[in-house]
Amino acid sequence: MNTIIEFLAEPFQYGFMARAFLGVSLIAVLAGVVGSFVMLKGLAFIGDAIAHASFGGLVAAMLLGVPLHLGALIFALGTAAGLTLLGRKAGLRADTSLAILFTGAFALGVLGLATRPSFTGDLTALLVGSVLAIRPLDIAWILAAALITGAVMAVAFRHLVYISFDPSGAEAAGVPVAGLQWLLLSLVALTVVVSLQAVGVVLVVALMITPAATASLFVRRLEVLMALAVACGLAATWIGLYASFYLSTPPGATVVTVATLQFTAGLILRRLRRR
Amino acid sequence: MAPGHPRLCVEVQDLTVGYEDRIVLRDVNWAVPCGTSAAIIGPNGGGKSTLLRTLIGQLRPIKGTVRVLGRPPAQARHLLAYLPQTEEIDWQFPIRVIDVVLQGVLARTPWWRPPGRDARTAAMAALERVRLAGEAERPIGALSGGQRQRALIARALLQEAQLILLDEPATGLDAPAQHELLDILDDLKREGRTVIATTHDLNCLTDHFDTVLCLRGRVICQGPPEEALKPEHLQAVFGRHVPLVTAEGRVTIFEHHH
Repeated sequence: MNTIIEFLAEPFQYGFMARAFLGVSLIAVLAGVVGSFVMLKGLAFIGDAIAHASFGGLVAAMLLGVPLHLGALIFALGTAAGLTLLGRKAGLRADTSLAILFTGAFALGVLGLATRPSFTGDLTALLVGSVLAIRPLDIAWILAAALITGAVMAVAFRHLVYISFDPSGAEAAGVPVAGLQWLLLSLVALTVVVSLQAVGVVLVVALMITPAATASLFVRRLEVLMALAVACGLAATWIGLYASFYLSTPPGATVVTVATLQFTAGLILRRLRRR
Repeated sequence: MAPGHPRLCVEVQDLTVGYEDRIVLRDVNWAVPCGTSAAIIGPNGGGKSTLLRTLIGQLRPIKGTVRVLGRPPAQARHLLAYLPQTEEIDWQFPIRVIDVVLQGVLARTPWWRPPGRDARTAAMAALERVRLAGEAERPIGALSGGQRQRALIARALLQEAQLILLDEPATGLDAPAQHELLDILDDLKREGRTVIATTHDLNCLTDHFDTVLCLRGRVICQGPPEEALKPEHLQAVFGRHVPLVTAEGRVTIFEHHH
């Protein structure tokens, strides 16, 4: 018994591990709520685009010496606004322009980063994140994002559901569809930006999509799906961080791997249940 | 109907409308009296959906004027409900039937306030009216095509819509489901609501619609079904001969339009 408690308590002797658990847990809650919409509306590619674009913002902020979150947020929100405008045009080329825009921003980011002597280290940190370097300020950002998202959901949850389910009907009834779409993408942008520190540009979408996808295998009601997505995300976070602590694996990647295994297990479980 | 209500529910004058790169409809003049039902027919690409989109304010006229319940479309939104073509809706979105119906009160309740007991009671009553009371707790995606349309009509009822616009509501429904839907549309009309629907099914027109508008880039014909559905008109609308028989004021078409 004592050994189990020791096993579980051991990581918390280190301040950076305690901050990692707290920070990623908050991200899991945030990503579960926002990610449910992202997964259901097939916005994964858009989430990825926002993440890559915000990389450009991160580097710009780094070079200019302004807070990194601010640079990333401006680029991410800019992409969200651009996407809303593109979506109104609804051309088949939206997808193409999006890919050009975000890979362009990403390439500029890499070029900017290359001007620094610590290029390789910086690049790795931004690409795959550094969970163990989460500072109290990062946690404050994550907390702020979670509070904003909570407030938006408290007020506009049913509206977001309406425009996700039947955008034309909602618009005809006088629901401000474009504004709400922008709001949803802005929440995605916010989630991406505050999660970058922990998991980096490449893995951030997984935190939104994978737990929600796992939940969607089992439930048919959005409120329950969100709750289950949050639970899956938290479980992946805790299992992943413990595993990474004891096995000395990269924490962000370990958490995402656990989430992926959850989804695989969910698929198998559902297959078995259907027999 | 409230006194002072405009006599015409929809009034379209010299309307030309389309998209950025092409004009879809030219010189449309059309009026729908309040409390009547109108069907819009025509080939695909003939402008049926485009006209509906103009009525809900989604498309702006290039030329001409549109009045809905006596005002510009954008100002009539709280009075109308629009049921888009079924593929525009994400039926797999994980919500219950009752949640869909309750969307009907969203546009007129304050953002922060969840639907109260009154709204829930009204939603259940609306589901009762479209014969879906037993399905309230089921996921919307579990319903049949006809039931889905009826759930959206219940939402329109909760919205207290005076004008209900349906884009091909009968497409993909089997005959019993179609009849059930058309009967409900008849009920709506009897209550004084105005119903406008696009359709490919020419056989339902005489029994269920007061007027027909035939579109093929412009108005080919309009009027009561027995007047509008002349062989020469249908030939002009669909670009081929449509075999039909008129007997005792009822028009029957001998073919499938799917």
